[in-house]
Amino acid sequence: MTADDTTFWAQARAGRLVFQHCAGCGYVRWPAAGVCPQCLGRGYEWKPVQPVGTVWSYAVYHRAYSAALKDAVPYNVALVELACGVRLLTRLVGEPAVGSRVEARFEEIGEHGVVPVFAPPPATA
Amino acid sequence: MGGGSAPGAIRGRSAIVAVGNTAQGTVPGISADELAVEALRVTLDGAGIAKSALDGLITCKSYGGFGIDTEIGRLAGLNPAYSATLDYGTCNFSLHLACAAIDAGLASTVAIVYGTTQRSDGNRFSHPLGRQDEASVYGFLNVAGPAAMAFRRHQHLYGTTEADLGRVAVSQRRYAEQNPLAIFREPLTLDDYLAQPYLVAPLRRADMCMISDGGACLVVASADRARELTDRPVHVMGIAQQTGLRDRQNADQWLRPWIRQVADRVYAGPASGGRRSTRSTSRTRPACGCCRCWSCTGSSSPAGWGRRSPRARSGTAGGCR
Ligand SMILES: [Zn+2]
Repeated sequence: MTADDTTFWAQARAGRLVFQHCAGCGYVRWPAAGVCPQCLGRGYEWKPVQPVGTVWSYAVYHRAYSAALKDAVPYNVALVELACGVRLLTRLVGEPAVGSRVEARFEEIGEHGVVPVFAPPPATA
Repeated sequence: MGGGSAPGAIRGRSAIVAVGNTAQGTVPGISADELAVEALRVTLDGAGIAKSALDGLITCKSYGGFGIDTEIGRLAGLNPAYSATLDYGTCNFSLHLACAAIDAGLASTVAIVYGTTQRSDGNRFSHPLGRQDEASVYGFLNVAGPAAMAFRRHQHLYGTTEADLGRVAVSQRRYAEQNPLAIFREPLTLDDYLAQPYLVAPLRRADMCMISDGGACLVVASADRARELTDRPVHVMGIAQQTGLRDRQNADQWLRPWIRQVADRVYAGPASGGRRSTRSTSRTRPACGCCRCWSCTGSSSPAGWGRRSPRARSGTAGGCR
């Protein structure tokens, strides 16, 4: 069950961004996996990371590929590169831009409850 | 690097001797494996090659659990010296496997066949929603998602425009207009393309391939056998592959940076002595003596094939019947 990502979603509901940190080499695994792709060790601990990153890219769905998403279109899906190295699929809030700095927020999306989304950091004047 | 040891250097030791396709699109009343055998039949018929000339069979699993060599070989009545089934991936990996089997002396004449009824069977390339995961929570469905992200990233890095991408669809449509088996044959201009609505922005309908039923077949033979089987062999000059198995724990996974490494090796292959070559040296006449393949006719790209009438090449490599 070490490829199980339920801890990620459960902690996100509490407003924390956590990933598996390798006990052997410190590599941060995502998607969740039973083995570290760097050192091949199996041990790990779920630990929080700095919830900041950069937008790698995003797509905007105008077509609902599932009946459940009919009312959701258009919506975006983005890949954010976190400072810890993880690349996380997510939703962008506000005007999306490739390469922009973003930080995690925790918001409710549909039936899935509170999940991580990303937005530009508050303006620092 | 010594001659012959260059990765990817096949240098004409094997050749494609026949190519064929069944009808494509919605093909009712036939199973996936029967379509694969139908592709084999039209290919052998078109090229005038006897089934008894085959001593190798390579298949690939298709949607719904079909495509196994034991099933297709049974239907086709073959007892090949060499047979294999790939779990995924068709044209590239199976051609490599055929070349490798021929090089190893396991077979001399290999049929690569594939058939699918995934349009009739309703494959939507979708994902069961419900479990809390990225697909369900964020609506990350369909291969169009990562493709759209990759293209937007490319735009960001290189300034590529949607019109640049549109030219790919417009060119392919021009080839399709001349191919009686093509599904979309109405003319498509760049303006038509840009006027299409987004499906998964920045991609439009014409950027996606249709899920279709159909069968396809290639026959690959050693250079010696190829001479006996056709007067128009297409020699395989270089092959290479690189697989991003590390998947999403790769940087730039969806931009597929391995394609560049593959290109370096595949274009290095045909050059004399296997040294690294530029595109222009790879277009010089190869030692195999073939003078019809794109690399030695001096056309600028393999796309040059598309400007010929497919009927004129029916049954031989490069044809499409
Ligand atoms: Zn490790």
